[in-house]
Amino acid sequence: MTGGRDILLADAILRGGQPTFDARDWWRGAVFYQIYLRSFRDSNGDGIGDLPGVIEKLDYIQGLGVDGIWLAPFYLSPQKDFGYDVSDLRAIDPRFGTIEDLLELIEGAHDRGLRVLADFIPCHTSDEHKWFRDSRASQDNDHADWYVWADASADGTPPNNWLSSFGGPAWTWEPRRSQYYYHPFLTCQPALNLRNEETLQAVIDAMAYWRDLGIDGFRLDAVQCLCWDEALRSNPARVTQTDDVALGGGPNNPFARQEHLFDRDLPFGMSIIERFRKELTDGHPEFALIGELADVDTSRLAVKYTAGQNRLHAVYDFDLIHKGKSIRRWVETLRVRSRFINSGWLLNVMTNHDSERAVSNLTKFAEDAGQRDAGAKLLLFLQATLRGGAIVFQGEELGLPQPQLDFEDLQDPWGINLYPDFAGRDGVRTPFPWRHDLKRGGFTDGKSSWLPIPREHLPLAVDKQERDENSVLSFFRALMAWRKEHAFLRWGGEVVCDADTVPIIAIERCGDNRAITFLANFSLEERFYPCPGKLIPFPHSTARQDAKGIHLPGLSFAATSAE
Amino acid sequence: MTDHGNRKPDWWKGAVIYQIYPRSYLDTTGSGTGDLRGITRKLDYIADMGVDAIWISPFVASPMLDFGYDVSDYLAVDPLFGTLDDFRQLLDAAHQRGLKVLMDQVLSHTSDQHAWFLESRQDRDNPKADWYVWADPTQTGGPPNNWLSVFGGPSWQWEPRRGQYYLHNFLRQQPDLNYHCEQVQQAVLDTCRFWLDLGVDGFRLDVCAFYFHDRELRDNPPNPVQPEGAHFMFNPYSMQAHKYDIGRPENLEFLERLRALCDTYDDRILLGELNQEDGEELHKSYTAGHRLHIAYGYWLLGSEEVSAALFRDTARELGYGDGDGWPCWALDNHDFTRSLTRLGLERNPEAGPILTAAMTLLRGASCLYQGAELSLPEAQLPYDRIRDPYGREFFPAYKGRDGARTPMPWNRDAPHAGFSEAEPWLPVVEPHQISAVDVQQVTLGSPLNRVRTFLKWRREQPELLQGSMSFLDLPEPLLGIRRSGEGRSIICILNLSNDEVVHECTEDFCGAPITGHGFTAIHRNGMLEIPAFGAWFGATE
Repeated sequence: MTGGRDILLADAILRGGQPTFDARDWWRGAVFYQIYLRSFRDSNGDGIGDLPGVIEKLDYIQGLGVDGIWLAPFYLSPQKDFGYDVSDLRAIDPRFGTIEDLLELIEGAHDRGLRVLADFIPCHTSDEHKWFRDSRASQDNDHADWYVWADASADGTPPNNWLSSFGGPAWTWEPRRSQYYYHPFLTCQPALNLRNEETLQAVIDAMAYWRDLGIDGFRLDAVQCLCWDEALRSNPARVTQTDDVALGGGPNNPFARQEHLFDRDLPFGMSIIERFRKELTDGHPEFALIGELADVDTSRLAVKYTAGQNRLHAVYDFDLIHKGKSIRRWVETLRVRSRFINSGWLLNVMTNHDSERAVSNLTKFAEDAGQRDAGAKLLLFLQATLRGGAIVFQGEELGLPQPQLDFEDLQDPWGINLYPDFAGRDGVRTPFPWRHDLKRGGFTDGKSSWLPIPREHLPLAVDKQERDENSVLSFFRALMAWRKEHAFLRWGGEVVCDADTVPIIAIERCGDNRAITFLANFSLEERFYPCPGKLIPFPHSTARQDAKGIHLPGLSFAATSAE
Repeated sequence: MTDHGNRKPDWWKGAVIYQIYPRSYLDTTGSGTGDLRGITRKLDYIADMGVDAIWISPFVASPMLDFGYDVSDYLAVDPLFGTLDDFRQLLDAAHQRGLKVLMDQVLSHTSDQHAWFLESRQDRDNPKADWYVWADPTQTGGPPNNWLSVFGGPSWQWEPRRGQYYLHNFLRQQPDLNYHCEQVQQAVLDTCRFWLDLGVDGFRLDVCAFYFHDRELRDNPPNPVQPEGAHFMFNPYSMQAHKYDIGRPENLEFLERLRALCDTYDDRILLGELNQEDGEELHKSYTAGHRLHIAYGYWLLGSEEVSAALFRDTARELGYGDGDGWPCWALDNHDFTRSLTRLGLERNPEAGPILTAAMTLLRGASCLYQGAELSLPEAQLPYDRIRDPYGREFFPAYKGRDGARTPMPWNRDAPHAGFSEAEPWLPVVEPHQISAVDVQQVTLGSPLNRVRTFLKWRREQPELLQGSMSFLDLPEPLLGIRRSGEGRSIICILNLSNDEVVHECTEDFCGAPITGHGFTAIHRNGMLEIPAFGAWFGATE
């Protein structure tokens, strides 16, 4: 395969320069730190994290060396889906703080050179949003057409076969209007009708409101759901069961039985995205729009959402999370991503607030072998060196494992419903451990926290790891510093070597007239990688070199250069 | 088992059954919720009303998402209401007073918290895997057919553990039992045997046309009569002809099994609830032969206007010939707006006794819902006191069912009208407080005293209990009923209006006056004069 590799390498060098680096492109290749507000730091003792808690910890975040933060939804919400069900797009939920807190946070972040992304949910609201309360009340009110309403079919069933991502019909009957409404997710999250110009403008105006307060961009929720087929055609059955489309909800999820031709990723969605881009970035050239993409073949489709200058700046997706069960499959996925992205942009995500902790999900074999820290470092190494940049979920810099929670502690309705088969998403959402010597880990000074601080997380608390130069935290800081010194990693080209090298993953990055090959050994045994290059000093790397190549101890990593 | 009263094998044919909603009858523990001991304490009051039986709404273990119509253990009394011993005492005390006791059995579905379902949902090969109605998704992942829930939307809920859908005709927390599974039938019969052994006199069978579903899960056809308009509570459920999800022929075989079980005991009865739209059709087959003794429909419960035609036409649809089954009439229950309010008679509490009379004069049994004997209007509750989830959801367009479920007012001057020492689960409203039992008992002509007088008189007229029936040809607002036994007929002419009616008729037509029923009317000079909401009763050969 070397011949093919050379061609790819040449191609990457040729095209790698296309997205040239520009100060306005601060987001390109950036590393974002994802803050799950409820669980980061509770400043007022009510057991729930808040904006002042983030302000308290800005120095810590700056010390990590990341480029920016992404704040979980802080909008007014009944919190049935923990903030992804917004009941007022222009208000801050009092349990998270005030508008003054947000302004102080933005200022504090900017003072420290940190960019601020806010989560925004454009596709649906909570069913408690005033718009929906109006809309559901009758067929002829001011907001009647702001959501997606449809008459029953002749036999009373929903208008078509669309399913919710969680299983079951995506339509719920509303007796007040004698119609069904559409909800691609929970029944309490009715889809907004963004085909309606008035609705679309109201959503854009709300986004502009937050932009004008000083945030640097949005993480947009579920951009595959911005639109739907206007004729409400039923989806056909899925013909081939490939895993090109990675879906949550378990192997049985009936959602996977359909080709989502008519309820996801509709062409008209692109024109909505183009409106977002135009209205939010005209006159604000540094404002960034990063979209969450799911339910489709994201590694291949991300380019459509991000190529050129008039759609999203970047997409982030879950393919690395869902396709990591086999390392060979994972490498193939990395290659697809590298090949398809062209001039578009795709961030690398190993976990988030909806998934399992990365070290327990993607390097379970290392955790099982008692080498959890090494597994965590390996994943962070890869995340920081892949083309695209990264979103690092809070606690990943500590290498936190997925904790076991008791049933009584669960808060996620999904988990409560399916326990013990599926324990829900609470495991990744437990409060952040700041101090190993305090019962509630320094997360809260109050008497309780909304989820418990797992006992197994306390020895991994920030205060312990800061004193240990071999800790995952110390590694992460060094990794970020190293990355800053090699600025071309932000935008440079990439070739992912083919699966023949497995369990070693080899990635070549090129730019600034140089190329570096990054090697990661995804096995417990020492492996040899034949290559003529030489090792470049890299934090915590234990690789050795001889005349023929690089020796990589189990779970180790290295950077080599051809020069 | 205690010996109770005279055993009349056909007692049920013309019985008056007093429905008790146990949450709201009498609270003896200070919990704010009524209980079984509260019922026991009021049995003298009930017996003195001239009724034959009580039917107690569900009191077995339940998470109460549907206020007891979601059972999590068929053999245990919910601690909210007391203990099994409390129930035994209730049963003994009722029997000592000659009252039969009917128990609500909710057998079509269970709660999703029932041990059977918790086991069944785990996987596809546990011992109870087949106890509920499970079906694979279609090729496109959707529910297996077009069946709908009574509460709106598809009646299939996805269960990721099994990768299948389960059927629920009502709430999704009320999974439907699979009666095609013989073990389920056995378990249900065992449940019934347990209570029959304990001494209950029969069951009120909740939604008994829903037991079986079509084994092939065929789609229901659209309703040929498409419902019109967009009424607030309009429900897509009515857009289907419910050919395959309810009223299945296998129901009849199962009811025969259940009847056979009852018949191994003395004097036990089955009162089936037929609440679907074509209940009249089902009534004939469900009450035929060795199936239900009586069947209870929503025929009068849905009415919003009172007229003679309402009673007459409904009875004609059900049939009242010798070969026809025996219906069970009801003007009120825990699911409907109280009849005085519903029929626009809230300002005429004196109309209560005539409505009770009209209902109980029809051939068949009747259900008298607690509070109807007091002519209580619907209780108007503020939003913050509404407990019914439907009321909370749809307030104020639909205020839910709480207005018919508020506590019984016992004493006018006691806090919470003597229902409870604590703040009750639903409040006692002012118009109920002033209509309390203790006031009505000492007020001549009160609705309570008139209902008592009438029901006790009625009970002594064999023609009114089991006699044959025909209707007299009379103009509105007069309802004329002839009930005939051996050698005598009773002519009943009721004025259902708020104005005196004078009607020309001969004594041959209206018979010789009978007294003792508490209603007044005079026949003189060939004219029958019936005061507002009054009635004439006459005897003929």
